[in-house]
Amino acid sequence: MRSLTVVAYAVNGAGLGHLTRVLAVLRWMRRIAKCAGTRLDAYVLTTSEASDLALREGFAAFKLPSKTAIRDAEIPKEDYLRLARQWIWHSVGLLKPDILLVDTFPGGTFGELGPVLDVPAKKVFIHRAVKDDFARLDGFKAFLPLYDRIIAIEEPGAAPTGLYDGFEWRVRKVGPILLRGRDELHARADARRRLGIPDEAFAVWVGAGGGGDHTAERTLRSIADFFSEKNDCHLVIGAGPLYRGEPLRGRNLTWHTEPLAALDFPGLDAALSAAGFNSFYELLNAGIPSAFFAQEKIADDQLRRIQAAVDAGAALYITADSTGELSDDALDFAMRRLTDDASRTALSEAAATFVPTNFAREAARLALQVVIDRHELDDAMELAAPEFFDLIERAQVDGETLERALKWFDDADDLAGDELTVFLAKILDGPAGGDRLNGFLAFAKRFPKPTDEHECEQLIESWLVIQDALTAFNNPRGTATFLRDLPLTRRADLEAQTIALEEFLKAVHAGGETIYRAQALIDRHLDPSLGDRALLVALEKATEEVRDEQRL
Amino acid sequence: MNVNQFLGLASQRVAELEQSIGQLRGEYAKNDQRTVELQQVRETALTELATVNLPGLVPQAIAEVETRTGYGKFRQIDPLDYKARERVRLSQLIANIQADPNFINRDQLLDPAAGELTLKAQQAKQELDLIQSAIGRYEAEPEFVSLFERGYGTDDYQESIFSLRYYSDWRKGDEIVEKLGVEDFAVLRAAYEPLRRSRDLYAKDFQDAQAAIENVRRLIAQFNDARERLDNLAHYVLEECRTALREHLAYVDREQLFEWSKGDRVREALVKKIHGIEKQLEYMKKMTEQQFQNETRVLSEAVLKIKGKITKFGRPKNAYLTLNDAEVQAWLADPRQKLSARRERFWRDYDRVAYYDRYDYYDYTRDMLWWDLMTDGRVDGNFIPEVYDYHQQNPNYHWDSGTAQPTPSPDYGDIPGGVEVS
Repeated sequence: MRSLTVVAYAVNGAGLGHLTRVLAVLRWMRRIAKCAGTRLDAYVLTTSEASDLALREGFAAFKLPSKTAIRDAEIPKEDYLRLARQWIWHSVGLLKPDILLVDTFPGGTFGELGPVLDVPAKKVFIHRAVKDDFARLDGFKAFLPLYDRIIAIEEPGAAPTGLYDGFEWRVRKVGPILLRGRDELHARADARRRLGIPDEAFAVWVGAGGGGDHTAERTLRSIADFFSEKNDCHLVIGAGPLYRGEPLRGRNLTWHTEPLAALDFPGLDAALSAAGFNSFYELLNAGIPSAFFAQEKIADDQLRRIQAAVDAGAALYITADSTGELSDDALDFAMRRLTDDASRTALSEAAATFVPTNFAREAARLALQVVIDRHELDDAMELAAPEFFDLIERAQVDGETLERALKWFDDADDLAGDELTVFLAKILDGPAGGDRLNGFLAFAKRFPKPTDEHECEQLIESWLVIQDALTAFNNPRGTATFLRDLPLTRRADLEAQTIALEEFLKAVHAGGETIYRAQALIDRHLDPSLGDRALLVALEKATEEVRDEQRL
Repeated sequence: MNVNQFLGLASQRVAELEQSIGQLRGEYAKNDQRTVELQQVRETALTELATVNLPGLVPQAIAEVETRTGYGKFRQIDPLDYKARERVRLSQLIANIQADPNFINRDQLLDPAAGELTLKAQQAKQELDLIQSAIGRYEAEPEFVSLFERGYGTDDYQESIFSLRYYSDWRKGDEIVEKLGVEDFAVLRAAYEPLRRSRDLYAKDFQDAQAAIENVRRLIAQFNDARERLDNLAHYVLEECRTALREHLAYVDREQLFEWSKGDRVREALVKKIHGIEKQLEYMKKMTEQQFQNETRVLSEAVLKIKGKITKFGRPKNAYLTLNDAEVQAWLADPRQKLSARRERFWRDYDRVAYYDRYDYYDYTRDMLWWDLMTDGRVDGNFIPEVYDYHQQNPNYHWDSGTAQPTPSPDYGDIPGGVEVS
């Protein structure tokens, strides 16, 4: 299997938005690459203090201290910057990526990517909008032409930047990129159970972004104080993985610092949150009626983001003062709207329309396009639908098994991605889907590879019959050995072999026998001189013997 | 050396090498013999294991079978119930046979001298032989039966006058008529036809008598079998149960079986022995295949090379060349000496594996290879898929020959002196 090395660079200090976004893109790049028969070796270089998110997503991350950490550790900034530049340059040089994927800061935040951008790798830049004055800096716009592909995230309400003059052909526009899309989130009941929300409670998400903002503690505390007397509300305080303040405890309160909080958003009834890129779009994509406040950031214009959603009727705006505190009046006003049924419905519908989809898959396709042949990529995209990976993940199919399965199906002519998904769904239906797929592959390799949809279906139907009969033995290890040694032959009729085998296995099971004895019986009756009919005759005789034993 | 001399020597070397290739399979007969021996030992060990797990038809032993072997059939079909049902069935069968007149009168029917059926069969046979001798003079003639059956000499004869067959039949018919001294074929038909009918009748009588005799004999055999089985029913049922259990044991996963046998030294030893023998058989097969293929390849390549030289120097334009002796010697170098030395080394390695018998050293709690245990880690086994795969997956694995215990070293990657810290 060919491989593709990707190095993603995400700078984060007081947040984890950049890291989250590159992981969202890498996640889909890996999936699509797999469907294109390519192994994606992805490395993440990051300064985010919440780099364990990469681990959770199954990516290897090399971590540098963030500038915040350096400041707190009282290390001279110049020493750190010198070291960081060298470290990044050497790391990229040693990893020799095919694609270098960078988020938001094209030259890094202290020019550390400058020397790196002349490596032979294809360079892909994810351009999340930044404040105009930041974008006009030379340290920003001068680096843009060095990228082979710019994936520009178009945020509603953001004005055109004019930053791409002269190389517009390298730019592709996408919508918000999220780590999990609406369809991947937990069901409401599950989410509420996971968050510890009582059935009857009105659940309010309280978030201050990744938790690293210096105002986060005051913000969260002011909101918690506001709700302290409201017994019918349950607060889920999403402090974020980077939160370093005093945790808040109390009745009707769930303290949440884990990453991937969005998975449980369907369990919420409303949200009061900072308008960082991820929190903002994740809440709206999940259709949660939300009121947002803005945090002051160097490059991120949260107020503009909120304004666009308010204009679309998709969210409410509440003001926070310079210390991050929210006034009771503002909260009271927001909560009155958020608890009103008609208002909530309108907000929820408008929010879902405002952020209709997750563009991570599309961004991944655009990133891969710089190295994978377009037709090949189109074929892979046809298969790499969210439903397909949802199916694979639910069945816990490991990468190697999936790779073998895709290779096997690859020979079937004109098999569309959705057809393949349907076939796989049939095979994986039931517990231990990975074992089922392995069993199918062990069975299928005895027969010629299917050349069309009909042959695929025939083989799968045969397998399902045999699998049912084998499952009854409740011995995965034994049935795997049985299948491995079973002398099925491509020269004899598949249907006849299936019927005979099913009949035999059912007889063996009904007689209280084990799968090992079944193997012994077939071997004893197997007469190789009968050639292609050997197994059929052996199955017939063995079935007869088992039934005779039962008759006694 | 002139070319003719070279060609003579080369042809001789080719013949020798080809002979060696032909005899190569025989060189490995030792493996076939040892394979059979080990298979027998395995069979015996399996029987022992079945016996240990089912020492008798007692409820406690039956109840333990599933726990110790994973064989659950006796939970569904209790051998003691089965024995009771079988006793009823056999008793009923014996009673039925005893009530059958054919069985009751078996002596009268089958007495070799005066038995009713014996005499009937003898009489039918005599009649049949008599008539066969009369009919023989006709049927001895080639084509007579064919002409008769196709209606030759009657209106039913169908051959067309325009077919060759017609004239061939005509000639044959005339020859037979002339040989047997009659006027025409119709006379022969008239004489042969009644004899043939009688022969068929007597043949049927004889067959009926034979079938009746067989029927009585079958009844007797059935009775004797049933009697024998009933008298020793406990033994038979036990053997049948052990056979079924043994078949299960022959295929059950060894590690799982060992797990089930845990705590019982006898069972544990037998499982290890069976597993070890199976591994020996697997390794021996791979080893001999590998060595055989290598030798065949070396010899075949040598033959091909010399044949190439023969073709080259056999061309007329090279007929008067003089060849350098040293070169000729190099071309005709005999690979068998080297092969013989290699084979000697092979057999030493082979014997280590094939005659290994310290199966009890194997430890299922450790991740170890039977191959290393048998060879003490001294023989490269990477040509065996199991060994190769294991080494691929555990690149830092090494066999500790001092303790006969494998000690997989922790995987610290390629960094010398790397340590895992929590």
